[in-house]
Amino acid sequence: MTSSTPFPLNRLCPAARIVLLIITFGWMLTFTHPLTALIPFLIALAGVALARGGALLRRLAPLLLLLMGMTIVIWTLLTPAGAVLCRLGELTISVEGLSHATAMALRLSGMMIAGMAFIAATPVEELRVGLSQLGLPYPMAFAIGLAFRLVPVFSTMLQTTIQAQQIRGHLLDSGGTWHRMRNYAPLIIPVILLSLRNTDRLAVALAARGYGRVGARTSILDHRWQWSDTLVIVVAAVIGGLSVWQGRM
Amino acid sequence: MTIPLLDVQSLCCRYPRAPLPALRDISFTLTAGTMLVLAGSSGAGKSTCCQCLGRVIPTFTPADLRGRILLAGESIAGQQVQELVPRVGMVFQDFETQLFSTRVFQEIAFGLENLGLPREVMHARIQQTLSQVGLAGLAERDPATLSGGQKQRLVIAAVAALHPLLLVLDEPTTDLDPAGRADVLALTAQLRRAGAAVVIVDHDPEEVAEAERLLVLHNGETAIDLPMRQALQQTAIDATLGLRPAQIADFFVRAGVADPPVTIEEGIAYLRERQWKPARHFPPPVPPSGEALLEARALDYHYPGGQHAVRQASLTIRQGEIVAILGGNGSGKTTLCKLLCGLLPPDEGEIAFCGAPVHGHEMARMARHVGYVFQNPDQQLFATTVREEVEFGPRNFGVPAEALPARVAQALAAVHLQGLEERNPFVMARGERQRVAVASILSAAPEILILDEPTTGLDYPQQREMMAMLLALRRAGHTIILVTHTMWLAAQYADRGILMAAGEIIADAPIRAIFADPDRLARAGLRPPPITALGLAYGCPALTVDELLDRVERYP
Repeated sequence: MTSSTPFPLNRLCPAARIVLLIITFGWMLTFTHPLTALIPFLIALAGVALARGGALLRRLAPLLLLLMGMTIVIWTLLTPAGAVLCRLGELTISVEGLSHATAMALRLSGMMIAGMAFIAATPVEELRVGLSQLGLPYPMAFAIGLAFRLVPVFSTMLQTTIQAQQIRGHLLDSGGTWHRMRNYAPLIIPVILLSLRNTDRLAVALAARGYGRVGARTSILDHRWQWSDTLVIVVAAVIGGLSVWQGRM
Repeated sequence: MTIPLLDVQSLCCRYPRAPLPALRDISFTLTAGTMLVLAGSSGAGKSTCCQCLGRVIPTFTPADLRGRILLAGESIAGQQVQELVPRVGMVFQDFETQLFSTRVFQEIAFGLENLGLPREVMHARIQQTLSQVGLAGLAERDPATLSGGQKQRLVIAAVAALHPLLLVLDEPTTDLDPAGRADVLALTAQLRRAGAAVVIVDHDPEEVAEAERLLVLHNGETAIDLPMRQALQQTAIDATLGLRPAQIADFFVRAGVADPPVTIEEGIAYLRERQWKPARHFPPPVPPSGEALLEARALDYHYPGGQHAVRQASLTIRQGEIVAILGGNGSGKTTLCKLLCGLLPPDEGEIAFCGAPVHGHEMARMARHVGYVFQNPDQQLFATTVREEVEFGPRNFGVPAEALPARVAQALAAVHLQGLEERNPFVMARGERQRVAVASILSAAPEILILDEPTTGLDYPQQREMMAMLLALRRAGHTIILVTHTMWLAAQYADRGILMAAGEIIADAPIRAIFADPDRLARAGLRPPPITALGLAYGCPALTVDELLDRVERYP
C-alpha cells in the first residue's frame, strides 16, 4: 500500500498542489500575447506528463481542440481592430484579432490542461486532505471530494436512462426549441429521482461507516507539508509575480 | 446463562401515516458466532427490521419505534447510526452507493479513519481484511474497476475491518452471480468464526442453509422462527410464507418422506441408502424449431476504454423461443443484448432480422422489432400516469393517436395492470413498476422482448407472476430473451440457454444440455439449481422438482 504514486507532481503535498493550481491559473490570466501565453501552456502540458495524466489528456483532446478552435474563431471575429488580414463579407479578420484570439485559446486550454494535471495527480481522498490542510472544515472538504467521486456514477446513470428512452424511439433533437426542451424530461426526471434515492442511501452508508462520529479523525494518508512544497510554491509565486509585473510594464 | 449478543424483544415499528405497523411484536435472540436469516415476501418488514437494528430507523427514517434491542446486554435506544459503529456493521444491497473511495485500501481505511485509529493499526487491519476477503493484491485498484462480487466483498470488508460485534447484511447478494454469492457467504462464515454474529436478509433461504436460524416475517409479524433445518422443511410445507420452497426438502416432502433431507449431500445419502432408482431413459433435449428471427454473426464490441466486452458472438433467435442468456457478473450478457437491439453498434460482425441484414444507421430501427426492458424500471419511468408511460413508445414510433388507446389496453392487459391507467407509476410497488416498464415496451409491439434480470428485487410470488406473464406473452406470439443469473428460473422456464464467460459464448444449447454440465457452468461462475445438482449426482438429470419426482422410482 502506498499513499501516492512516485510521479513528481504526486509527491507534492495535496495542499501545495491546490495552491500551485491557483497560482498557475492566475499566471495564465496575465498573458495576452500568444508567444508569452505559450509558456504557461507548455508548462501545463509538462505538468500533465509529470502527473501521469496522458490518458486523461488523450481522452479529452477532442474537447480541448474544439475549445481552442471555437475560441480562435469567435475572438478573431469579435476583435476586428488593427491591421486587416482579410474580409469575409461583413466579417473582418485582423492581425490583432487573430493574435488576441490565439492567446485567449492558449489561456483557456492551458487552464484546462493544468486542471487535468491536478486531477490526474490528486485522487479525491488527497483533495479532501489538501482542502482540510488549507483550513476548509472537514465536512465541506469531504462533500467536495465526494461530489468529484460521484461524477462517473451519475454519468453512468444518465447513459443508461438515455438508452432506456432510446429503445422506446425517443429522439432528443426532434422538433422546435420548446419541443427539444421538453424532450429532456424523460431523461431528467428518472435521473433526478434516482439521484435523490441514491443520495439517501449514500447518507445512510456513510453513517454506517462512522462518518459524523464525535471525536478526532485520523487519516491513512501521510501528507505533511515539506520544505520541497514551500520551495515549489515560492518559485511558482515568484515567476507568477514577475509575470504580472512584466505585464504591467 | 450466557447473555445473547443480540436480544430483540417485542419490536414494533410504525411509519408516519402508515395504516398498519411495519413490524409487530418481533422477538429473537442471537449468540456470538451465529447467523440468522431474515426472509419473507416483499413488504414483510425485513429491511425495516435491519434498519431498526442499525438505528437507521429512526435516525434517518422517522418512525414510531417500540420494544427493546439489547446489544451485548446494553440497550441501543437513543443512539445514532454512527454512534453504533463499530459495534454494529451494516451492508446494503446496492454496493455502488457504498463505495466512496478511489482505491481499495482507502475504502477500507475510511471507517477506520472515522474511528480515529492510529495509522499503523489501520495498515494492519487493512492487510488482514484484504487477505480475509480474497482481495489481497488489489489494494491499489480503483473499486470502480472491480467485478460485482469483488465490490460487494470490498463493502463487507470495509465494515468487517471495524471489527463489529453484529453484522447486518440487507440483501447483500441480490445483484450477484452464484460465484459472487458464494464468495460473500464464505466471507460471512469467516467473520462468524472470528466471533461476529450475522443477520442476513435473503429471499432464498436454501442458498444460506449454513445459517443457524431462519426467521420468516409476514406482514410485519413472525411467521416462523426455527432452526434452519426445520425451517427449510417448513418452506416446503407452508406455501403461505411467500418463499420459494427449498428444492431438496420440497422433493422429499412430496415424495412422502417424514423428516426430509435439506441439503444435496443429505439427499444423495438418503437416495443411496433407500436405493431409490433413477429412470433409465430420458426424453432427449428438444432441438430448437421455429423460424429464425434474429441472427447475429461474429459480433465484437469494445468498451470505450478498449476492453473487449463481446468477442465473436454468433447466435440465432427463433420465433416463439424463451432464451436465457446466462453468465456471471461482467460476462458480457447485457452488452450482447444491447448489440442485438441496436442500442450499441457492433465494432465488427453482422446482424440480420428476418433474414435481412441490418447495417449502420438502420440499427436504430431495430428498437421497433426488439424491445429491451432494463433491470431497474426506475431508469426509464418518467411520466405521471401509467397511460402516458405506456403510450410513450408507440407515440415516438409514429403510431396514430387513435390507435394508442388500443395499444395501451393491450399492453396493460398483458401485464395484468388493467384499470390502473391513471395511477402514478412512482407510487406503485417495485413489482408493479417492473410491469409498467414491460408494458411500456410491449405497447410498441416488438416481435422480440429482451428482459434484463426481470426478477431482481421481486419476491417469489412476484417472480412467478412475472414468469407466468412471460409465458403468456410467448403464447401470444412474442419471442423472449431473458438475461438472468437466477438459475432455478432459467431451468424452469427457458427453452434454450446461451452461456457466456469473459465476453464469449461458451455454450448455446437446449437448457437441459446447459444444466447437464456443471463444470462448464462453473467456468461461467454459475452452478445448477439444488434439485438439478441432486439429480445429476444421482445420475438422474432433472430441471425441476416435478421432473425429478417423475424420474425417480421411489420405495417407502
